Amino acid sequence: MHESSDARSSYLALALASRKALHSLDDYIEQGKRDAQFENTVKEVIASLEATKATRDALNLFGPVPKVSPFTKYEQLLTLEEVVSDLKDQNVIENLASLLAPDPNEESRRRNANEAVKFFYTLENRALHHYSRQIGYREP
Amino acid sequence: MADRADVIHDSAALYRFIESIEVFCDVRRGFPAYLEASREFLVFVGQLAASTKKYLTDFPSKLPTDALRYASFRQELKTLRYAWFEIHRRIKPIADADTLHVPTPLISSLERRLRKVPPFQNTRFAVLHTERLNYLQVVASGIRDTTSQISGLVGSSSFPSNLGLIGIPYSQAESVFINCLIAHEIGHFVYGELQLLNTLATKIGDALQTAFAPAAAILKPEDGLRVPPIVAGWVEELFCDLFAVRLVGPCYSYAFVEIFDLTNNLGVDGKINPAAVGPSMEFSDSHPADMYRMQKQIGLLTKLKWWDHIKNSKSLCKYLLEYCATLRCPQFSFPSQIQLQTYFIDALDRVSIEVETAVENSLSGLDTGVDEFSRLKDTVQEYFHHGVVPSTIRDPSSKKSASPSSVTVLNTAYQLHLDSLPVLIGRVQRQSAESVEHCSNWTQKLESWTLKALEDLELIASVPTS
Repeated sequence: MHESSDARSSYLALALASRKALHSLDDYIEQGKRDAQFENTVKEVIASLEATKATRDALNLFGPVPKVSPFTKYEQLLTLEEVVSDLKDQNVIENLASLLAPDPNEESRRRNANEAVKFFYTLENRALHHYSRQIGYREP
Repeated sequence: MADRADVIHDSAALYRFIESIEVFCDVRRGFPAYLEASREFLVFVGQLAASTKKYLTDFPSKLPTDALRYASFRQELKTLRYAWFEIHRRIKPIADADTLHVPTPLISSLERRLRKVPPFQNTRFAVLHTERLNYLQVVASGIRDTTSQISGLVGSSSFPSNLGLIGIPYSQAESVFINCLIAHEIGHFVYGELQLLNTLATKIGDALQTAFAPAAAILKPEDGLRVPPIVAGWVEELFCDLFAVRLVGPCYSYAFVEIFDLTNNLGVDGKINPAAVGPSMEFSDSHPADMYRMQKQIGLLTKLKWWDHIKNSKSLCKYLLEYCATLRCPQFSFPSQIQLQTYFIDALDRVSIEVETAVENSLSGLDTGVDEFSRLKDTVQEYFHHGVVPSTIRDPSSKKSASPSSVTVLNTAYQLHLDSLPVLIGRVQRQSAESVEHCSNWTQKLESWTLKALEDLELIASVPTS
């Protein structure tokens, strides 16, 4: 059951999940290590972006049915779309998918990770912005 | 240009904010007394506060030398601050819900019943107070997810497994009947624990495709994103209603009728009043229509054979339930999506059988309690009619002493409340069933005897059998 705080919780969950991804990216940049949770996060984001795009392009009747994931609820899908729109000069899905490539060389690993940092930072930022509007607290 | 001193300043400000919440988690004094699970939750948040403070102490030392990474680094403080805003909202409602202010025996008996199902044998519930007089709009799980996510960031211990959070209106500690709605909240916990959203997602997707196929030409791209979460939300609500019915029986449906005052939909002749029923037939973005929810509950009550024990009632509640059983999908509406309402409601209806299956699977092996109710209800009712707490009764078939289950006690008490409170009142001098005040007083007594019976049953259950 869900009170009106449902949207607020969705935005906060998205911000926290983005921050967790940024932590993992720090490790990836510094040590070249990818944890399973991070890989799963990247896959979930890609799946949501692809499903949303297919719906917008009228290839699918419906977008994803929400699942137990911080990237599949309505507010979260819209925020993901906003970020993709903000970063329109990048191919976000392709950049994220490259993070999952096996054994990348040092240069491409760092480049891909830095692009991903930009994406998750922007995603966290937008989610926090929406959260703050939900609680009636306006950023100055 | 921000430097280390600025980061220290901002970290300290957040540290101070968290410290101000932390003081509400101190349970070392031993008073007030809390349910064990509530105490456990407060201890957990206290540890989370300590870990977050430690994390903030170290935070300035991680200031990146690369200016490009400063923005991302600094934003973490904002994320943590907002996450602690959410904890701030919930800590006092939990700290206020001490054992003097929650229906402890009822919560314990519901816990004990759920624990009979293997995946939930270690489950316990912390209780928080809400200022809203509507159990069905409390989301206690949000704070569970938020605290878990903060733990993951700051390296604190994980959220205690099998610990659920239940929200109840702060004023209802002594109520029993209306608190039967807690069973719905337990349904939300179970839905989350079993990840049923994932289990049902494919079925929901299939139902959407089928139900909306005739509407494909009029669907807009934004509908494609907006429709699935609405139907998925309805599915969860329906699951929780049916779960509650399966867990505690018709007393949940009676409480549902009471909190929404659905008998207002009946006219003086006991038949439905078309002028009144309209709003109860409307779906909202977050919930199916009240009467739709009732219709599904009646369906399950009939399947579980509870209806055999309701059908002879003379209460208005029974007439309302009978009416709901006759309703059909086209009679419901969804005002915020009028053009698509038929397809929305059809989609939910297509998944409803899967929801029933999910409910049965989630409580697999749990006795419905209806057979025992059938055997003992008259005896338990007789005890109540004489003002005797029915925790140990004489089983009419075996002629031996027996302890009824919490399901039998709750449902007998609620049916007495609906059907034969005047019998109880009529046995007391200078009390009249014609008096609103007297009826209220004796309902309160009936509820306190019920709570006492539940408390006794907990005690009896805790004594090891030889």
